[in-house]
Amino acid sequence: MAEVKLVNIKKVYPYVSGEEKKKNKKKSADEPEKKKVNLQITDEGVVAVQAFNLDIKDKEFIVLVGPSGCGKSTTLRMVAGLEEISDGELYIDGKLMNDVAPKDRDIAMVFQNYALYPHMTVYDNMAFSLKLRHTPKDEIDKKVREAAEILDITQYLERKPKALSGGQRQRVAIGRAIVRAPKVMLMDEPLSNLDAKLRNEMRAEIIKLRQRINTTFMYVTHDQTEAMTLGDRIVIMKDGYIQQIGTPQEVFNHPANLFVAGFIGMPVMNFFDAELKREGDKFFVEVGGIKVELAPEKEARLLKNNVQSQPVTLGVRPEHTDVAEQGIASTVEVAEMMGSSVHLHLNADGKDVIVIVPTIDMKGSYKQGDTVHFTFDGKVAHVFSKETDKNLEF
Amino acid sequence: MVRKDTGFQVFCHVILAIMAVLVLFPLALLILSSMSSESDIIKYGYSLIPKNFDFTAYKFIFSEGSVFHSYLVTIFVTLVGTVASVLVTTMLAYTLTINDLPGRRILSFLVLFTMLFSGGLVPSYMMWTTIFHIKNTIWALLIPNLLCSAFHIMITRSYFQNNIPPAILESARIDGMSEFGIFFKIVLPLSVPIIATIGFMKALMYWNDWTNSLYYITDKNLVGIQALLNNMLTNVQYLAQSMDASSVATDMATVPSLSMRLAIAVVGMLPMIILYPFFQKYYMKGLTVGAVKG
Repeated sequence: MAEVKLVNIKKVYPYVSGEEKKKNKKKSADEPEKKKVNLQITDEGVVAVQAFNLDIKDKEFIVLVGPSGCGKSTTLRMVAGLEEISDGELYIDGKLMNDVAPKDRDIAMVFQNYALYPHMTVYDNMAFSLKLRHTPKDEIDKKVREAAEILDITQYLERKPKALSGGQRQRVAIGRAIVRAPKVMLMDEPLSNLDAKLRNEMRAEIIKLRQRINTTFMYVTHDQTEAMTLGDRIVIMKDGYIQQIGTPQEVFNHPANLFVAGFIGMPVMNFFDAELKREGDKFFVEVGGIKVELAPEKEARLLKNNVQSQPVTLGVRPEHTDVAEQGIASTVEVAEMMGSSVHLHLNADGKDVIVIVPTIDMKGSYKQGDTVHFTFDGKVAHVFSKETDKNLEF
Repeated sequence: MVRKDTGFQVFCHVILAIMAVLVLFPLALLILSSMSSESDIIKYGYSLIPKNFDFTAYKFIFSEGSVFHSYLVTIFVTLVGTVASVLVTTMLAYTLTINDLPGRRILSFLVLFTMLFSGGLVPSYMMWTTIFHIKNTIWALLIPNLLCSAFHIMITRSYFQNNIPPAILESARIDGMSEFGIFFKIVLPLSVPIIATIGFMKALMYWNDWTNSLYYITDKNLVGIQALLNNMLTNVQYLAQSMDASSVATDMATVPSLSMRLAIAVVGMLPMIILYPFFQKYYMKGLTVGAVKG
């Protein structure tokens, strides 16, 4: 249990000798520099994380989420002490940890590929860190059996990891972390190696575990469902920068920019080219021949930011888009029956749009080529600047 | 369903059997001929079925009092040298796997360099005798071979990189283990195949080494078995002169020089032939590691 504070953290992977020469050679030859996706290449080296500021409260469950290469695992590894911090400060429980060895940070980490010691039994794997800390034998035994009980792996204690399934191995990995009762529990995509069913089960296990062991969690995932269900707060990252920090509800209802809006939510948010019109203190969006007034609380925020009429990117989630008699005209391309709802894939003037229609509200079936009109409410419309991609309400 | 091509399998087995016989034939010929009498070899040539079994050649070899002593010297050197050499090789190989180690590339280059170029015999001799003063000491049989194979270092490094997930080492670091602890308690136990492989290679190297005895040893008490056998082989006169007159009454005319040459080869390699099957499983595994994704 501890507070974790990351202040202006930066991670740069310096060039190894030779790479820089190649880069300079390319520069002098006046060739266009190759741009790697998600990597910012500077004279210092490759920048993986920058301007990372985060205060994690005691016992909080923080989830770092983002696409591959966004710097989330690097950040977690810097907290663990497995990566050097290039710049900035890391505090755990108020103590500066930049130069403290991983073993002295009082943290535990669960890895994506379990990282169990294959030549040791489950019991020895779980007892290993306690033995290194010269904990008395009876205490080790008690702690290991308690953790095994919590994770329901008591019957496997004498087995070697190779005799366990993926799910059981991951339980052992979690067990190995919790026996130490660490101040901070770090988890690096712990469920990514499991199949979908097991992942759902383990997700529920982690939620239960969190209630029982009561420590500070930092959890990395690229799966937004995991992020939404597990996190007290979510940190969404892209290209080494934090895009937004907020509760699952906040990031879902008030995405800070186009990236967050598109990343959080499944199916992804629909985006339209629209016009934002300011008429006195009122704001309207015009799109596809319809004009919708934004909700008063949105108007208040836009007014506060002194937003003027301008072309915008309008974002509306599929679940907030309704089929109506009148609205934006579109043609049905695919209708996916999901059980409780139908996902309509529409083509609205060349734009792909998804609309979720609850089956209970359906008056008939949808066929490819049918013309459908859809609309949305001013409460659920998000307006993003065309220039900066930022939500104009922020 | 995959159809089994029995005819092809039989063909393959026959070819493999022929190749196995071709490999075993010289070995069998060597061992059995060494048990033939000298006169039979002169008369009938080397034969798989000796006309008369005769162990005179072996009697001659073992009548040389220092054979057993030389055996002991070589066994000691092989055991100590192999353990020390495996330890040094694996430690250096592990060091070379640490990506952010300062100077790792230079260290790798220096190791690789020795694969291509050596210091040469005379400079090595001068270094060992004038700086390290190992002449006529047991160190002369141990130290020059301690780090002589960059190839061993490279295959060990490759094994570590391909077979030990970095997350296990990171996990051990978080658990509170020192770098030495990680090496001895995590890396080595997970590397039995490669340790057995290079261990066997190094044991062979120490066992078969006769040159260091030749260069640095003049003290009879420190001569290894291979050097002694080499002396016997190249100079039968040496054997006759050094034999204890009371043990085998003989003169130069009765020294079975042909069968003795064969017996010397058998005495030199027999311990390794006996040991090989115990290492074979790991040896094969070790040589093929990293060939395919595990």
